[in-house]
Parts: sequence; C-alpha cells; structure tokens
Amino acid sequence: MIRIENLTYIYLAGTPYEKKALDSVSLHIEKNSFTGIIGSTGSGKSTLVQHLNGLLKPASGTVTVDGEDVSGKNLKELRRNVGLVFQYPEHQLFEETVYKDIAFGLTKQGWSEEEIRDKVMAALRAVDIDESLLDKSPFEISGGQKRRVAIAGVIAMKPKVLVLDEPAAGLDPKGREDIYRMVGAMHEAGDMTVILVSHNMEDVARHAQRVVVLHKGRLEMQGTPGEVFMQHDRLTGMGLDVPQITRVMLHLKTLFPDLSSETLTVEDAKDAILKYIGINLWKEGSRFR
Amino acid sequence: MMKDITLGQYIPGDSLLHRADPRVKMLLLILLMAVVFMLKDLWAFICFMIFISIVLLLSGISWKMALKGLKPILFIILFTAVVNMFTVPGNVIFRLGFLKLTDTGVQMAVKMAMRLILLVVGASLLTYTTTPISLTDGMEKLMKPLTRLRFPAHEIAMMMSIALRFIPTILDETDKIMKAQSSRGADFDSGNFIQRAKSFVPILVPLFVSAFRRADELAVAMEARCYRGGEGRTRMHQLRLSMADLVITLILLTVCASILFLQFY
Repeated sequence: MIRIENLTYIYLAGTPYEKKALDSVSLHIEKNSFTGIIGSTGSGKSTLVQHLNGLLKPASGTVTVDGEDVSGKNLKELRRNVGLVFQYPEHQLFEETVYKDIAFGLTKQGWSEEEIRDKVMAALRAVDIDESLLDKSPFEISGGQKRRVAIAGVIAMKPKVLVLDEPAAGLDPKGREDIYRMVGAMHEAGDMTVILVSHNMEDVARHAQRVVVLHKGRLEMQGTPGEVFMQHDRLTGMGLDVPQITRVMLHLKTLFPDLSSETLTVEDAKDAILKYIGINLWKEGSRFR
Repeated sequence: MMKDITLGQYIPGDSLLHRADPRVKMLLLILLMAVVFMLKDLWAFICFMIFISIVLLLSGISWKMALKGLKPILFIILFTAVVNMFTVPGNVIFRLGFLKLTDTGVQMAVKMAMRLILLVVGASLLTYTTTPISLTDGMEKLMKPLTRLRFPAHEIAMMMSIALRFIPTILDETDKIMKAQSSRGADFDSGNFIQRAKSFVPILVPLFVSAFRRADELAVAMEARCYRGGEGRTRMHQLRLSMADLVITLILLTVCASILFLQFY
C-alpha cells in the first residue's frame, strides 16, 4: 500500500538553519494494517507522515501510496485517499455549524447535497457524535467533541489511509478511550489502513499491529509490538519507554524467571500472572498430593 | 511553504558589527543616512559604496544576502532612475520622440540609484547584524528620555518585542493550519480572485482564534510572573558600550568626515 524508499527531508535547506529531519528512511506499510509510529520529540514522525499526502516533497527518495508517487501532480486524488488528522485537529474548525465543518472537504469534491448529507451522517456515527450537535457552532461544544468532529471531517471523505498524529493528546482518560475505541472500530470495520503517531507507548502497544521507531530522523526499529517493546534498553536509550505494565513484568521476571514477560497490556499481564500462579499452585499441590 | 521564509533578517555572526551595541548602531545608521543625502559628487558616491562593501565583507554577510534586501525596491530604483534620466534638463545626448536623454539626467539617475541602494544596504546592515530582540531593547533605551513627555517608551518596546517574538509562532501556526486544511481538501491556488479570497477563510478563522487564545495565555503568564510595566524593571541583558562601539563609531565618523570634507573643499 505505502512504500517509502530512502526518504530524506531537509528543513530550511540552504540557510544557516538547515536541519535534516529524515535521513534515508525506508518503510513498507501493508494494506489494511494498523501501524504505530513512535519516536521522541523531533525524531521526524510528523515530517514522515506529511509526506504521505504530499504536503511535503521528498528532498531525495520516493514515497508511493497505492502505486502513485506522492510527488506527482494529482494531489487532490492523493489527499482524498490519504486522510491526515493533525495534532489538535479541533484548532482547524472554522465553520458556523458542526455540519458545515464536517462537510467542508466533501463540498470541495463535488458531491451532491444528498450524498454529502449521507456521508456526514455516516462520519458522525463513526465518531459517535449525537445528531443534535449538527446545528451547533463548533466553538460551543466540549473539547472531546470538538476533537471528534474534526476527525469526522477527515473520515467523511472515506480515505483509504487514515493517519492520526497524537489523536488523544490533551484529552482526559475517557476521551482517550473513546478516541481509540472509535479508531479501532473503524479499522476493524474494514477497508482502511491506519497509521497512528504517538508518544504514548501504552496506546501504540494496545492498538498497533506493527510498530515503527524513529530516532533523530532515522528508522531504528520495526516489528510487532512484542518484538519492539521487548528491547527495553534500546528504547530507553532513544528517550522512549515501554508500556508501564511491560516494565512491571520485566521486573517481575527477574524475581520469577519462569514468568512470561512478553506482555504489552494489563489484560495480557493478568493472564500471564494467573497462568504462572495456576501452574505453580498445581505443582505445589502435586507436591502434597 | 512558510518555513522557507527567513525571519527577522538576522544572520548569526561574530563580527565587530554583530558585537556592537544596538543603540550605537541605530544612531550611526541615522548618521549614515544623513550623510548619504549630503553626497553630491559621483566619486563621493563611489567611495561610499566601496566603504559599505568593505563593511559588508567584514561582517560576513554574503553578496547574495545583501542583494536580496534590494529586491523589493528594485522597481523603485529603476523607476526613479528612468524618470531622472529623461526629465532633468541638460545637454541632450539622445532624442526619442518627445523624450530627451540628457547628460545631467544620466548622472542624476546614477546618483539617485546609488543613493537608494546605499540607504537600503545601510539599513540591512543593521538588521542583518542585530537580533530583533536587541533592536527593541536598544529602541526602548533610546526612547527612554521621552517618557518624561508621557511617551510610552516601555510599552511600545514591549509590544514590538512581543510582536516580533510571535511572528515565527504565527507563521508556524499558519503553515500548520494551511496543511491541515489542504489535508481536508481545501484548495488555495485555483479559482478566480473572489474564490481565492474566500478560500482563506478556513485559514483566517482558526488563526484568529488561536492568536486570541495565545494572547490571553500570554497575558495571564505575564501577570503570574508579576509583570507590571516598565517601572523598576531590571533587564537580563544590560546594554553596555564596549570597545567595538568605539571602534565602529570612530571608523564611520572618520570616513564620513573625510568624504564630506573632500567634497566641500
């Protein structure tokens, strides 16, 4: 689906302030997969995703989405296929009503009034926003609602690739949960490749099928969440971390060597501990039997 | 897009001009401009051009950067030059219909062009070698005596530094919003004039919203740190006159004085 080959990007090239933001990054992303991109601040995550819909042009290397080079001419088509949700997307709301804001992108694509209405309604259901908000101003609804309305504005266009840059930043725990449940549901519902950029190791570990680690503009690691997060020391060296529960389990493993420590979520950890205790109880019991 | 605009025009460096006090540089710039207006003879202009070029060279500013500053006024320079060439009376060299090219006209045109170039390059020497913040600092200090006349020197300087401080921030913000809206399907480049003007609404509304939010946050943050205006406020960077200031003042005074002296006597 997405092929990135030797991508290099330099900010402010040719001035005293020039900075290499991406350094020969190569990456393939499968169709309908869920990929998490992690990396510390300034590692190039945001720069990388902005290449996916042609907002930035590679200084060298190529990026192709669905076989189409992003440096090509047809940006409109590309941007319909790749929906990019920026950090704090609610800061881009501007229309008089929630409905108009969600429909903004669609009206630029020449759909009929009715089709637009259907698509807006579908997007609204996907982000779990009540219809009664449609006629309100986007400036008078709550923070979490604003965020979801802004995301609805992107998914209303039914992109094949949905890129989310820190979609849960600044939300309360319930807001976080809601956003991720929504993204997870959309991914499961089918035909959508999801790319999640985040600082939050828990969120990435819980939702992503593959994890990509960027550090100082270079691609340092990639693999399943299990493969990546087991390398605790390397991640810490890059200013990153592993999910809290993985850290707990790694510590526990030093005390109980038989314990399986490849756990990324609290649920997995619970199972692993129960299994360990169960086996041991059984062993212990057998001793007295 | 926006990221490629260089801000303020400051070029980092460590020349004599970079180290000099902004107040001194500003005063010297005023002197330099006054002298440029007093130049009359062609050779004096040329001498002055050579002098400014040497200063440019010594302060480590490339020709490219210096010429870049001239670009916006290129049209004005050409326009005044052409008007001068054909309208100033004198011995006619060349005649084209009702247009008369005169020798004094050509001379005037060349001088006028050089004068404008000198003014602009002189001013950019100041902005290229001084950070915007120390410029406003210097301005505040220079305007200080006016506070006695109830002139709000501190407030004006503070407003200027806040404005300067937030130009990059607002530009970043604009860039981000433009990218976000283009990701949502906005199109800024096509359509007629009215359609294009309309297409900026999705940028301007969020930009204003965020500018007001930022202003509010900044005001609260300043109050939280007990900002109460300029009275009794001390500065982190005290402006102090140094050897560099003496040196550049002496050099400029000598050059100006000798050129003017030779011109008038």
